[in-house]
Amino acid sequence: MSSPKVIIISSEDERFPVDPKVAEKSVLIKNMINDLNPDGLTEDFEIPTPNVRANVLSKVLEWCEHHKNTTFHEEEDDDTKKTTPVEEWDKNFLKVDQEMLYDIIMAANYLNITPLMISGCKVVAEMIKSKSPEELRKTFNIVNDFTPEEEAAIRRENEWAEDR
Amino acid sequence: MDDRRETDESLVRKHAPMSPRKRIRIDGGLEKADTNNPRESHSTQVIAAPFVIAKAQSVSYDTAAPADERFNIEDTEPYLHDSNPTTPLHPFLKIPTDILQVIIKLIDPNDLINLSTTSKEFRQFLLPYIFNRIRIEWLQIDDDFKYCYLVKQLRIVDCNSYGEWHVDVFDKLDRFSQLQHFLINSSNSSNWLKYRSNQCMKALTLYYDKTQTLIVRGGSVVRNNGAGAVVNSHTYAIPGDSVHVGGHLTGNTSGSPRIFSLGHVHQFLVTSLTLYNYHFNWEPQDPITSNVVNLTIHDCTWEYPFTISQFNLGQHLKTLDLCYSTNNSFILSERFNKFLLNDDESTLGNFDSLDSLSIVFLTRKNSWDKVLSLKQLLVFLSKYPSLTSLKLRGWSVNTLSLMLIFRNFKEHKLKMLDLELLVPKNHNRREVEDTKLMLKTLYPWTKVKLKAIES
Repeated sequence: MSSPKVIIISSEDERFPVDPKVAEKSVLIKNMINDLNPDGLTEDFEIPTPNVRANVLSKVLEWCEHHKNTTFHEEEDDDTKKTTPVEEWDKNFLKVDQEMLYDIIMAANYLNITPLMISGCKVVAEMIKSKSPEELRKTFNIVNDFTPEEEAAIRRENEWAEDR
Repeated sequence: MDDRRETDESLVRKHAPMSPRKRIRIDGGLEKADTNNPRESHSTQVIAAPFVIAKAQSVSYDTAAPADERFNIEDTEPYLHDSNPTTPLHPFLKIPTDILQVIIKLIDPNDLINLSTTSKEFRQFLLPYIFNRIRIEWLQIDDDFKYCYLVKQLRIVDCNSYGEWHVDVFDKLDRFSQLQHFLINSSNSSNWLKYRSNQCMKALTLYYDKTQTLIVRGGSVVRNNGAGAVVNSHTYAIPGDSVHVGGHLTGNTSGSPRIFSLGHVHQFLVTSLTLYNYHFNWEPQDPITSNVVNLTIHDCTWEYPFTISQFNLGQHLKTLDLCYSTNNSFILSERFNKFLLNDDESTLGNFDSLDSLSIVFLTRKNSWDKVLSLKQLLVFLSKYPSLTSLKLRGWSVNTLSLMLIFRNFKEHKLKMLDLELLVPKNHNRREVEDTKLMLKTLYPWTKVKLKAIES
């Protein structure tokens, strides 16, 4: 008999059977499995994730599969978090359109897969860092709907904002 | 972080009840919201929160709202009236607050300011994040600013003795209804605070940044903005030698110690106090009362009969952070050593209530190395009986002595131990991991952070 699987069900009721080791990259799922099966899985275990669409879930599980043997070290503090770059594989994996990127981050947050959530946030942060408003509009496809007067007023307001 | 979110949300809830229609639309990226899952329903709510402010101008307000509510959303955003309600929300703006907070921590404040300058929608969404902390000069304190209601932290950037003594700044803070943390750049002793009082503010920081000192040139005042450029500012003259305190001339007394005494802040109820570069003084006739729960002191020195434990007369102190930067010889002094050994003669206060202690020496100088001795750790663990978190940086300990120390203290309550571990050059990463593992086996309840330092 093959070993029991964890079947994760997307919002569209699409079923994704994976090894427990892969599914347990999600702390939410890991805790759920451990709480309901204290003696270990003996049969397939279904987990519905009604907030996560199939295309997003499949990406998230691809990440979990790749990292099933990775041990993540807790990052020390905010400063370390800020300076540690995104791992190369994650960087390439997260080269997706922006909506998908945000959906992956939100799904990782919901499923409690912290390293994926942090990698995603770092990718977004990299897109924002050291850019002028004009460059940001290009990156994020934002239409400037300020009149020149409004923009000037906003720049004056900005002088109040803490800059450090 | 949670604190900020809660307040933003409650602010929104108070003014604009969320309509289910909006919630569904905003939540589109996540499909059906699982209302049984508290985590998810929470994030649904917070996605909606800033957006609801944006749309709030269309909501008619209860005219019987409490009189102390100091702002009206309708006044805050004139340009929103022409925003098109049918345009779909930019995908970035669907990011829930808790994730946005993570992203904000990864970028610089200026990046966020630039992002908020891109469009009306982004402006509205990011307003609470860019104006929750603001910076002003002493003489701007009365200037018009329409987002006062968002401000939780306010920093005065320029040193100004005149402002300290002649402008009752605390009287002018009422319009910042949510202000919690006030930071003041001050080149002088904190004596002037004796004549000020505030019962609302939770946190006070007194620091000194001399690059922001006002300079009088040819009758007009210019501000050195720290980046080398000199910017014209308010025209204003400092009445230099007319300011006397206790017979001493105050002014920009760089070189002489900036005195801080607990008596200076006795009319404040702050629970969090952060002090940079002060010399603590105490005369037995000085009044001391302290409600401080979190005390952070950077490069501060003190003299007999003052003791740090005086900050804890009321037994409120939970966290104590000391930090010393380059070449501060005070850490070699008898005063400091007596503090480390908790051996101050004074019986005023003790550290019984202390949860968390952090002593950080930023610069490691071999001749100054504090080696974490058995004796020293015994002091921390036995004389600070409630201690659950201990962080020591710039001290050094090797694996052998660390294990020796911890085999001797079976009954500590530490939940967090953060140390630097001295390792040989070209060490194996395993050594640090093994030490961690050994400590974890001995004390499963203690979270251990070890940072390897090559000897």
